[in-house]
Amino acid sequence: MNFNFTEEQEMLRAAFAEFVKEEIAPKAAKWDEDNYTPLELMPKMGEMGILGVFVPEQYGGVGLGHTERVMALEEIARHSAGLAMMVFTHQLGMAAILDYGTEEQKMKYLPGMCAGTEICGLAVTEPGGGSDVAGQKTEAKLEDGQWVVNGRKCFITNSHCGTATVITCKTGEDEKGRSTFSCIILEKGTEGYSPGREENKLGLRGSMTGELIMNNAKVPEENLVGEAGMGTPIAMKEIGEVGRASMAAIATGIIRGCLEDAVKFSKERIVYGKPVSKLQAIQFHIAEIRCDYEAARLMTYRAAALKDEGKPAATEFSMAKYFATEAACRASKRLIEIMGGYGVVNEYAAGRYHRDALGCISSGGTSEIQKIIVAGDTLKKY
Amino acid sequence: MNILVLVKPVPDPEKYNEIRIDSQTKRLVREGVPTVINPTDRNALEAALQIRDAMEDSTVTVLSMAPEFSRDKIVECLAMGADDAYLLSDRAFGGADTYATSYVLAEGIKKVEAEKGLMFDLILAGNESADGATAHVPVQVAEWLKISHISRVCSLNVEDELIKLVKRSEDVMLSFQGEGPAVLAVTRDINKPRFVNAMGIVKARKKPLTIWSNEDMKLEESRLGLEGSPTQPGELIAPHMGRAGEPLVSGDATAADAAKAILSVMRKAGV
Amino acid sequence: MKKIMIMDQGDPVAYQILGKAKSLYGDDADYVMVKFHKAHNQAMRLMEKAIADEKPDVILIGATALGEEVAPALGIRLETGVAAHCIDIIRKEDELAFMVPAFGGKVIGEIFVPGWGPEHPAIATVKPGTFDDSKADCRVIDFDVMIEAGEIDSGRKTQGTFRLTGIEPRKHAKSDISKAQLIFCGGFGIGSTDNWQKIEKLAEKFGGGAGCTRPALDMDWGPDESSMIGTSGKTVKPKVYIGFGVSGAAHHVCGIKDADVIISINNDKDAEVFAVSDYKGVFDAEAVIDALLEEDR
Repeated sequence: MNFNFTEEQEMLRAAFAEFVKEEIAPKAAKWDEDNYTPLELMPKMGEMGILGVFVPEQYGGVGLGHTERVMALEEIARHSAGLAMMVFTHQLGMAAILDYGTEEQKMKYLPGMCAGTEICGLAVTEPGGGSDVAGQKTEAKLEDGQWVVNGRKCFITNSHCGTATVITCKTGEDEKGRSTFSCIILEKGTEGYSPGREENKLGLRGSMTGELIMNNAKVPEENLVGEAGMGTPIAMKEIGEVGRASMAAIATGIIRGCLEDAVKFSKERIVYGKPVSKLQAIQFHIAEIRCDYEAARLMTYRAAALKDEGKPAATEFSMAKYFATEAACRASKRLIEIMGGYGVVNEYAAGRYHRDALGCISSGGTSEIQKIIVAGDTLKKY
Repeated sequence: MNILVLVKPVPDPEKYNEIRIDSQTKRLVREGVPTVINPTDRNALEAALQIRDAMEDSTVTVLSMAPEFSRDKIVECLAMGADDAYLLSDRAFGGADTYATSYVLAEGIKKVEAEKGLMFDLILAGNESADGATAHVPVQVAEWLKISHISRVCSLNVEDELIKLVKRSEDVMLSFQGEGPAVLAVTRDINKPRFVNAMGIVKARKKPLTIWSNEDMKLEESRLGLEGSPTQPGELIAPHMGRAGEPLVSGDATAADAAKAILSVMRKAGV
Repeated sequence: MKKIMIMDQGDPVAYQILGKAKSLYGDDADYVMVKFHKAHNQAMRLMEKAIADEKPDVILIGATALGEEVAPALGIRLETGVAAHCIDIIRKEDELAFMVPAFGGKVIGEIFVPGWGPEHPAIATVKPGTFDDSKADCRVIDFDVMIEAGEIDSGRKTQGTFRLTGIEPRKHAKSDISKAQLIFCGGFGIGSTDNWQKIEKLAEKFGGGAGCTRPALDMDWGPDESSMIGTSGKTVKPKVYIGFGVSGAAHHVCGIKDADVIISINNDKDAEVFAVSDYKGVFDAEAVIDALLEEDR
């Protein structure tokens, strides 16, 4: 068991951190305040090799793995969890194309997405339900070599900026009359396809989340990703591994933000004639945040390492996502408590960390869904 | 054009407020201060990379005299885009002043040139290092090599093998034109160094990094380190700059009150 | 009897150094100034000639753009040690200690040149403004006169393999802040070009100098390099220094440490600069600047 990153991974982390320090950290608070999504950073992150870090070189990627991908998300989320949401959603869609697309599809879409000049996403959730995947109503019918798509998706990140989005649609029924689904790429500008309302979120601002409306949108037959009827397994695999890994990493980044800010504040804040870091009550909070950070981190990177080794990691990612996101809510609340009055003043980041943490719970599967998955696996194995 | 860039790993300048002197041992305590490539050396490397990228058949080599644990900083230079790197590393080199350091670097440059069978047209370096900030080493390396040197270069480009630069002096900007070989020491405003990115880090794996100790360099021990330094260090002092820090005005005073208080201090001081 | 040689390149620093040298050695030393206000491109040649003729024990050079190249080069040619940009020189019986800052001024180290003497002169550079202006004088080797008289060729305008193709005067801050008795300084916290211009207005209104820190200079808000105060910029010794939005990094503080009174205005109650200030004000810099601009002189 080697719990250390390689020298190269440390160098990558330092390079990502340098980029974050210059391009993200100084602006994150303002993005949150203005509900501004920094689309201009996508090409810059493309140049840094952040977006396509896990994509093979022949498709414009860097040829590394999910450990490195998750590392970049942690670094970004430490300062802007909202921006990290845009990045991970983009990567989620890319992963679907990479894992299940044809060679033509990969060559057509991935290079621009690695470069950040094209933005991707994966749209599953509908007004009728997100957790209830089998209940999706969006439908795609094959007519004259085209898919005609009708339906609505909601709470979709990158809804308003995506240039090519992978959307799950009902394309048939099985022998028991249950709906079967497929993944189909819809490109921006297609007639009948457009974003709808954009949500004004409590947290994870710095990313766009909204509706997608398909009204007789027609796309070529070859926009099908993977086999027809495989939509649910494809979406679940990508959300399960790439999506949950990302949420775990983003939550880990938030916890690290809470940890660093808690230490800084408690060393500088003088009360009763000495820094509050000398008070045991504050020390206990800090210790709890630290343990939450280390545990979230270990679970996240362990799952990523399994995936990079080609081993199944769905349950590990589920556990990491559940633990890290709940821990981020705890840690950020503790930070607010440590900071006293300052914790509820918007000039400081504590409130934003907490709002961002709360926003993480419902993305990539709620905590309840994760627990169902974990219980299912546990009851089989133990 | 073949370009060499001298780089020095130094304690991170952003953390210099944390450096202290141990009151018992009187030695420098820099635990917890990470090492980085001297900031203006990155400007020098960026300048070299820009010249190389604009000219065919050009290379950028990085050279450093540093302890072996700084190796990852040299790899960082390769990741930023340098083609190859040489690290001169030996206990005997340590403790050297700029005279002995520049001697070793100059000998290193000669050895690299002999290895590669070429002469460097340009040797670039940051104007001064963040830690010692003497600005001596680039000049002294040039003197050992008996080539030209110009410091405080704030603008540099190469057109058809002709080197054009601007040097910033106190009262004037001096424009020069000429050819190498020469040592040019560049200032921090000459350019904005590119980020090290993931692609560069992956490519750096395959780039050659050669480490030479004095067994390879074969330099006389008496010319190295403290023994080879014509200056010797004495005591280290951390100047106490602390002052009272009294509040200018009372707790709920306004900016206008602060302004009046400032004026009152000014009047008392007679300015 | 020591012989102390000082390079006079036309900057007042030469006489600041002479004043200090005389305060250290008085009549125990012979002083000689090597003067060339023109022919900077001949500096090495002229200094080497003067050194060969005079055989000084110590050579002191102002740490200017020229001095920074001449001093270390002489060090190699004379095979001797060079102490860079000292902030003080101390005579300790037979020893001469040069006090040299490191780590942005956070640490000061003593530097010696053991065995210094005519065969092995100690060389040191001194930043302009470190020592006070002086009216002291001494014997002068005047190369300017010799150049005028055609005895010395002022040389082609070259520096090694490079030819000088242009000289452009630099647009400077209105007055030299190293002499100012009152200084208003803008740090990273002033945030904009508008606020820099307000600081310049303050300087004009109250008859002081306008300075800046390195981070403010980098943001391109308007100050010139010559307004920068710090170990790699100007050293100032005003009666009153007022900093706006200055955080207090070691290299800047080193440049203001000899000010009589330091007032700092910063909206961060934990700003490091407060620990090195006489008076602190936790206010928005712009608000106080505006209030000062409204006050009567």
